[in-house]
Amino acid sequence: MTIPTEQNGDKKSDGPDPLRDDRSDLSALDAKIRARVDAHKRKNPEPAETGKRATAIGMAFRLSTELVAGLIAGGIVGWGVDQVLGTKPWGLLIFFFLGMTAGIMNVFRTATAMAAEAAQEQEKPNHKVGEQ
Amino acid sequence: MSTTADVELGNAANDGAHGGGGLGIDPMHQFEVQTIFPINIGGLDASFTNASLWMVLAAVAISIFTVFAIRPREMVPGRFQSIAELSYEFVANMVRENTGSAGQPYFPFIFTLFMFVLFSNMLGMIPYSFTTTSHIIVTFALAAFVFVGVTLVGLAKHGLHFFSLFAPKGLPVALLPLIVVIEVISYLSRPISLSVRLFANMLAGHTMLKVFSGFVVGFIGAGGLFAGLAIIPMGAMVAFTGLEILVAFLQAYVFAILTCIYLNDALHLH
Repeated sequence: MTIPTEQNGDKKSDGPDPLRDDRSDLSALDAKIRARVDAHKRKNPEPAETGKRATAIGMAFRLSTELVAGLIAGGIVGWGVDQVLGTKPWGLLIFFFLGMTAGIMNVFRTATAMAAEAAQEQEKPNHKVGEQ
Repeated sequence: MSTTADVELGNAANDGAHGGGGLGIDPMHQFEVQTIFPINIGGLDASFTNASLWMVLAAVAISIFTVFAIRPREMVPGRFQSIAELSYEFVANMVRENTGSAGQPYFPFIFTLFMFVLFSNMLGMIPYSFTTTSHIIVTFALAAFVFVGVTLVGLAKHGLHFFSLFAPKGLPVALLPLIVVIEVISYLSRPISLSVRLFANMLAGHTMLKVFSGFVVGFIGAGGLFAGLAIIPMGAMVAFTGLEILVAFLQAYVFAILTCIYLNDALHLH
């Protein structure tokens, strides 16, 4: 939302301050648009609803990959430990379970962050009109 | 690979059918990497493939888009300038909200990353194109770059103090070794989850589209009453195409925002 000032440089002599005029005009328009959008949103809340459902799929996918990634990372580390130390099955076994723990921890963290985000959005539903 | 996904309906063969199941349609054919012109550097196969071609196309498309869209430099932007400004603002806000002012120097990188993933995903939606982000090696290369970069930023900024990221405060000393190991694994799992998420989303979506298009061709090929039924998978395909465009955007967004979150962790250490 930055207004390029150098373009208006030559017009400055017309009025007292055309740039400020423009800006207050724009902000008045912005307020008007926002009021309209809010009114529209109050009347038909479906678009927000479908948007939420789409992100719900995204959330589910995020959580599941988080869990799987923990497992894979643990497996790779365990396999690497086995290769270096020659402790054939034990590294993989132990780190597989540690990886599972890490995955669950990641899922828990992500879910907590998501819940906090959702709570924050519910507090002030009228903001964030143009977001996402 | 071709047990569940292989569609063998009717007698319709498409250009992608090769050997194997005779007249079936292979939904995985679209992911095959084909050499366009071979390059061999010291026994290493560095050929220019269709994957390379579409990555180059994505980069070129982004350059053309960003350079020419803002060419008019209007006070009230036109369509393309508006899209360019919106995408700039979108990423700028994302970086500001997730990393604060400390993350501002990394904005160009995150913008590039977001645009590359977005354009790769969107170009993949064009029929007969190649989706580079449906290959794990491409997404893993991006994620590994982010991972190494973020770790180096953290080390440069905090020195050895960076490793306190792995030891949460207020932890009993007895539990410390276990938790540190788990935290390190959790940290190492980041590039994996980042790359697998993008790759799996694109792979699954595009496979599904091809399977449904196989149904359409099969039904029409069966003729008679069945040809009329082709409208059902056709309708599903239209809906899935819309969903895929949403997923293409959403995954680019998720990739960029997670990079911001990781960067924030490295910059501010909890």
